[in-house]
Amino acid sequence: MATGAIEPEQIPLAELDAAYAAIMGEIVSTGVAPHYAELARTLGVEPQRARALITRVIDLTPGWMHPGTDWIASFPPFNNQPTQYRVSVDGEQRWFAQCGFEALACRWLFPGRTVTVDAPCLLGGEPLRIEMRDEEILSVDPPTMVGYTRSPVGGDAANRPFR
Amino acid sequence: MNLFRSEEHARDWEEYDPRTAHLLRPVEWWADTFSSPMFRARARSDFITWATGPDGAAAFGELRERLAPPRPDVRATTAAAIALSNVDISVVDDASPDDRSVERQLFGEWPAAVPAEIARHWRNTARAMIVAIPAEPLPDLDQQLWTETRRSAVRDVQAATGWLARADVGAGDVRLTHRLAQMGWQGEVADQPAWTAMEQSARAILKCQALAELT
Repeated sequence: MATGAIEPEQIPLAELDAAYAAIMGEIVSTGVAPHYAELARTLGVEPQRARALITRVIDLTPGWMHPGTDWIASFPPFNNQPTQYRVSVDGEQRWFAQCGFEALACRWLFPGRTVTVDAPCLLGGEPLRIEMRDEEILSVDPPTMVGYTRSPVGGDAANRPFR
Repeated sequence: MNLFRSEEHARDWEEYDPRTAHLLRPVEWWADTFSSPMFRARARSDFITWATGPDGAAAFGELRERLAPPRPDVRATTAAAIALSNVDISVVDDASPDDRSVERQLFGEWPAAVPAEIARHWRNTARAMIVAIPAEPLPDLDQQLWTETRRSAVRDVQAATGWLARADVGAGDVRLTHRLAQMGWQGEVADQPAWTAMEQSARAILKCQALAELT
């Protein structure tokens, strides 16, 4: 199979759009991000082209690959690698969120459905639960729940290609 | 970027950094933040085109602005709110509406940078706290029960004050009502002194925020 040198920066936006939508669609459907060989079949391109597409899409978004591999580790708002932020849709737990904040954004990918985030508090491990549907926050348990980060949201400024 | 059961849990976390205290917010605030077009657009079929174009840049600029450290005057307002929510409840136990003990305690804790106009409105908030429940119990109520009720009301005012100071709650914002309802403040007590105090507190905070915007 021809591999050819592919310059990720030269890939047309329309192709990146299709790759992004395909990856996101797969995660929304199954809870799991595709391998580049699987993405290749979905997009009808050569596997090496699909690998370059993933590389470029990851470069342009706040996701990341597992170091030293071709596996998508994080594709926000989701995480392919399990985290403590378990996401359920209409009662079925199949997804993990990249972080506590991104967990709150998962609902935009499941319009009209009830999205529940379950996680342990980092201090003490007691349970936290948030239920959301579209614009509505259905419940927050406990109601005193807060979010906190000491890191810049979206990563360091130097690593933000389009921000 | 984590969730905690309460502000206290977050502040007690080993990785808490006071320099990023402005990023300690109610989960509802974060839910609003992650409702920006930046996050909704991920469902678009042309997300990369959108994100790398002017609309995406504008959306991310707004997001960064929302998450930026507050200006010094806004920080001072928040510090004043925290001071108010840290006032020892015992100070208000026997305070009457013309008692200045809470104010004196507040002025001992506030940073010098709090502008005079903001301080004046926070003083009003402190007074609202004092009158949350009248100091004199009704004749047919047990004194101890009355004291506990009063202390409980003060704690609620403090909790609401601390939360309001950190949340971008505007006048008429339904989240204020929702939050108070979560704390057990139901509509049927709206005509009672404690509810009035809470409203005064909220109004004072909103006024402080408006002043901070202008200074």
